[in-house]
Amino acid sequence: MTPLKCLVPAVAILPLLAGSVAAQEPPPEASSLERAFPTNNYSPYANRSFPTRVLWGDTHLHTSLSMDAGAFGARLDPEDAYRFARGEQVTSSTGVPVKLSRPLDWLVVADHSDNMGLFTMLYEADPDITKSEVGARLSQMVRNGGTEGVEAALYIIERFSNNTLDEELQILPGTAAYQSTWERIIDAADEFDDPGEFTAFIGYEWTSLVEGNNMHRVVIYRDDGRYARQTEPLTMTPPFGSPDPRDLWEWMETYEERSGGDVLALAHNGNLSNGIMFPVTESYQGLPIDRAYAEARARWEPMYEITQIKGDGETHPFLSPNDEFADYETWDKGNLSLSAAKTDDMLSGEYAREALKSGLLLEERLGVNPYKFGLVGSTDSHTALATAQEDNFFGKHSGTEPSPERIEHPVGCFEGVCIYGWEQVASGLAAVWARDNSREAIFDAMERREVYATTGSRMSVRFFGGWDFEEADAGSRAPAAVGYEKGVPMGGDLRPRTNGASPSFLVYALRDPIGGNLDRIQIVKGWLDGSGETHEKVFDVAWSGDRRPGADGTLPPVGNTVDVENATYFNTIGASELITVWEDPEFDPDQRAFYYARVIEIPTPRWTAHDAARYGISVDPEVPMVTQERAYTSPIWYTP
Amino acid sequence: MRRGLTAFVLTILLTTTTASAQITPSRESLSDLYPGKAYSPWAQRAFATRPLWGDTHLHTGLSVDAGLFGARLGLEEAYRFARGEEIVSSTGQPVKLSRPLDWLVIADHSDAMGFVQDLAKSAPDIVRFEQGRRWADGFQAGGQTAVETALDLITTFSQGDIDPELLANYSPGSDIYRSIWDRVVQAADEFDDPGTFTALIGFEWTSLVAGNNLHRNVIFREGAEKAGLVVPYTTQAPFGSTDPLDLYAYLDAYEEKTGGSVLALAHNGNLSNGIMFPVDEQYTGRPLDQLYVEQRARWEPLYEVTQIKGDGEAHPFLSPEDPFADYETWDAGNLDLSEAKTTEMLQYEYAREALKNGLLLEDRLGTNPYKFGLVGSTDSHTALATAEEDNFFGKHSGGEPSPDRMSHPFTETPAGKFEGYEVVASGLAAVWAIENTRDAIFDAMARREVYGTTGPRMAVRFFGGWEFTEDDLNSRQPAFRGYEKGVPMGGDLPSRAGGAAPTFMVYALRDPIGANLDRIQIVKGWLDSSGQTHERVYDVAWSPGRQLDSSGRLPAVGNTVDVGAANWTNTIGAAELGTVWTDPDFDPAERAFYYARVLEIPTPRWIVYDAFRFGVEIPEGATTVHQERAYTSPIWYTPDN
Repeated sequence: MTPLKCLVPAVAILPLLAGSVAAQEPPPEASSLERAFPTNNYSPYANRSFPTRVLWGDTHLHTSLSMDAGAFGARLDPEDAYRFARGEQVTSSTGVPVKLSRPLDWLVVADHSDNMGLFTMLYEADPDITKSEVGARLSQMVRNGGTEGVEAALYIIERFSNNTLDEELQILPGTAAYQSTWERIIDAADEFDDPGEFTAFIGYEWTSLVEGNNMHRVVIYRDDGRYARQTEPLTMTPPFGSPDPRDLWEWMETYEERSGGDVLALAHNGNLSNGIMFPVTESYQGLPIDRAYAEARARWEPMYEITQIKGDGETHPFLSPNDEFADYETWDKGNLSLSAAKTDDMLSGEYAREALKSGLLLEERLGVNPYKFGLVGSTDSHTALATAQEDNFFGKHSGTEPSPERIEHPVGCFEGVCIYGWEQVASGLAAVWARDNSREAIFDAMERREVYATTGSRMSVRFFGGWDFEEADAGSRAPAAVGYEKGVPMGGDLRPRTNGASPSFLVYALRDPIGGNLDRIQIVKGWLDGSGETHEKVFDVAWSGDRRPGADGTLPPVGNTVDVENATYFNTIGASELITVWEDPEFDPDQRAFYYARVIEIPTPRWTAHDAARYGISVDPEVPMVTQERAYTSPIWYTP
Repeated sequence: MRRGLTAFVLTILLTTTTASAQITPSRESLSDLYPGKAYSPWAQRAFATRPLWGDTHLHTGLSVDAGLFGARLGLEEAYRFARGEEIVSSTGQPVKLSRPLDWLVIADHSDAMGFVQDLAKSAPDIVRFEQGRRWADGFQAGGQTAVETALDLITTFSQGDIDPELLANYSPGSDIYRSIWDRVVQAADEFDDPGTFTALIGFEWTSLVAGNNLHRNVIFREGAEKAGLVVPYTTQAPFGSTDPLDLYAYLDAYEEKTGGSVLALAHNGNLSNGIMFPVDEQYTGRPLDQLYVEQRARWEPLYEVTQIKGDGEAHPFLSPEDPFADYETWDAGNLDLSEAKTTEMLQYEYAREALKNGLLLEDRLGTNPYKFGLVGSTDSHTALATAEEDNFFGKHSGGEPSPDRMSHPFTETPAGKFEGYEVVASGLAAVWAIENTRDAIFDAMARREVYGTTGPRMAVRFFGGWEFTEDDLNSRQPAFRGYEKGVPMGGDLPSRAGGAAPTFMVYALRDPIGANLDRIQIVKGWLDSSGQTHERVYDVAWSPGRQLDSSGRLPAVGNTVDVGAANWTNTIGAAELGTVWTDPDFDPAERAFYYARVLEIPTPRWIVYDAFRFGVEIPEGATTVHQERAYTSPIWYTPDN
């Protein structure tokens, strides 16, 4: 990301230009300009300089070009992924017709850069792969299918994860095979990118795995193929690649310098990193977290994937024991490969809220906050199908596409510890407040963190922070106008404090038009006290109906209308929209702080309930059938 | 509307025989080919998932009156605005829709189409006439001179004093008229973007009989390749006629000539002074006969139930038991207010009464001429299809936003007055078409699977059948059961089997950015054995916390409108409502129809936004708060035998 680079020259040029423009004509007489500046326009939708509607997308979707996706049976490629995302019906890899309830507005196809395209090449009997004996044999097995196909997949996965994959089966950067796969990804994105209607981003996933600990990053390009094709993606396997994020950031800088393009990265949910996603003192290989690390991470990683199919990563009940909604779709058995079990001390290096708090501490210590990120959800689906809706969930990979057995089948096991199908989360989506649907506008909104995450529902959420919001500002159907006027949107920094006030926040949430009503809006505050300790607190700020907080300040639950047997619910509880202005009652101007909004829906059936109802199966009582979906906005920060 | 069904069925039968003569497949070879119902509830749907929003009735500067009232925007601007772009209005104001429309019919008046636009440009074909020169100069002069020129032109036109040769140049048969129509059809083809935005070709046939409004909008299913083979039908003799029977002959001739399809829908009848829905005889004195009822039923599958010049569902005089009947009522007189309204005219003007009289005429003549679906549209003359209260750009360019537009009379004559504040920010047409194309939208209109709203975009499903049960609503996808067990809005109940009463499944979802819902009602009309028609309105679903009182009335939902702040809150009402309702008063021997009416909670009318934004006083007597609504097309019941 290159905001600073561009800004400085632009600022320098402006005063010069202004001088010459003014010199071109005689100064106008004031009355001659009277009609040049009409008053506010009548139409509230015209002349808006801020985004009117949120654009929905997925930053993290795999297709058959990802080696693991291909091995698990994905047969759909990036073109299929785009067609599906823009609302067309496609046939899934398992032969099932599938369609989104509503199109997405944009999509990042983010296939793993390591061994990209291997399975597609085996399937298509690409001469580059069948020229070797092992390649020809595996290609034949894959094309024969059935148990032979499974054997071939296991052969490859096992050797790849043990770093013993046959050289002939490695698709390495610099080879013609690698280049042609990368070109295929670029060409598909450029073909489907349709400014104003649907945005297709070029991207990939850099799949750093350190002893099974997940450090993945998704890389997103602002640019088209003319730029992107100048440089191949970074992989993680040495000697061509590296698992160290520092090397990724260097690769990004090199790309921008070489091509003049613009890229950003966002980390995969850190819940499977076993404590190494958000280091505070030293990174996984023992290097100290210093100012250079903080600066580079802050520069290149403006967003974070807070929720996805493999669990929700906002917070953990161990870290937030006072937050009754903290234990949501928690995956804490171990790391990505389940090769190491989770221990409590790892959790603080894995969850978003804690990282945001650690960021304040590191800013105090190093002068830069490395964890000043916006929040998005995405699927990480390996099916080429960006499905995050509970009633239309096509699973993590093609082996977990809809079937009567998928609830009970393990997704993965290691030494007796299993993650079962029902634990998959039908999540999430990325919402972007961009002015128009184009690569430039969406990318720029991501960079300024004007984004939020949901676990699959499409609620619209506005969140502004300032010093003089008042209750009357919530008395309008268009809160954004006053929001931008008096404050900063999600992802921003509070403007400098000029009076003795506490910060005030204008927050508005509108339910998913075809989804569940809303239970409540909460504001989550994190801060750093004078002794260097971090703290957090969750405030209920707006809720449906006439509920009153109890003596302990707890708001009673909204109720539950879910009919599990029929996998349905009624919007007879909750509110269709909520709005309020909230002022921090515990503000200390000397303490660094951040604030973000969490919006909670009423209870609705989880995807497992839809499966049970559609297939007529009974499921183990431990399987959750009801969920309360939510949105997490990007924070707004306060710095003394 | 083409009746090509018979030929189509025959073809299928023949083809089937041929196909069956191929090799018979083995049972095994077919065993994996039928995987059953799709898991994804959005895949493999043979019905529409969302309604497509549009306007069947929009004028641009090509309409003589629009041009005279100051509309400077043309076809391109109208399409660009409808598909969601920001444009600058004729009065220089930037304007944009909150959300794009899905489709649009530009329906400019066919009489002298394009004349005023050419006049403003001092076109040589106009200024060579003395009248044309005078008017062109007047417009060039601008200011008060231009206003007087416009008035002079209107008078000259309406008194038939226009130079016959000049009129002929802007009437069917001339090259000029042909070239204007070519521009109309070509602009539609240019903006028609299947899957994203549909531009349907149309025009308004502007029959005015002594100031009584009999207008019809004509909509073509095809593009320029067919609609360009004809020119519009007009009303001025000798080129056209004001008799709908002549319009029907024109529509028939189009289908004969091109093999295409076309339909018409009547302008809201509230300004027809009793001649829109005749029962005994036409305004010409010609008795209603087989020909009339068959032709009208054939060519007019839809009706415009609400628009800027008033709401035409029901009138309190006709429906005294209906507390919501008096909604945006315009009953001072006819279109030009040359004649005041009398109460006996009303029964021939309003949709609900026409639906009832249709049952009567069907009984009498064998065909129901008033078996129409319901849509709303704007009839805006600004090239701007605005129907939202907070973004309303008025009837014509003179009524675009300004501090005094609500206090200026809209029309005033010795016979009566329409106040500026009475103008209605309405309506929209919702179409349950399976895709956003000309074919699909036209076909949904032809089968009446449409509904009208007064501006908001609530989604409404309405199905009728004989065996809907409460369980059928036990899903978030009521349409599956709806189509499976019944017929959608606009349809006929299937033959009655068993002794049951008809059941209806109805579901409404509020406008995502609009107001919550108050209630759903079902309106029933029927014909008793003595030949009398009746109506009744049932409250069938409402937002929580209320109960019917002892007289069966539902208490009001409340009111959160803050007039001073031009705001309301969605703290009352429901985001969605649904129910299955069985007619408790069903008599299998009586013809009947049923439609749903969905009411929003109270919200501010457009004048409240004007007052707030311009800081002006609202005139005494003006309505500030209203309850917007949707009207579905009816479902009809016809006794067997």
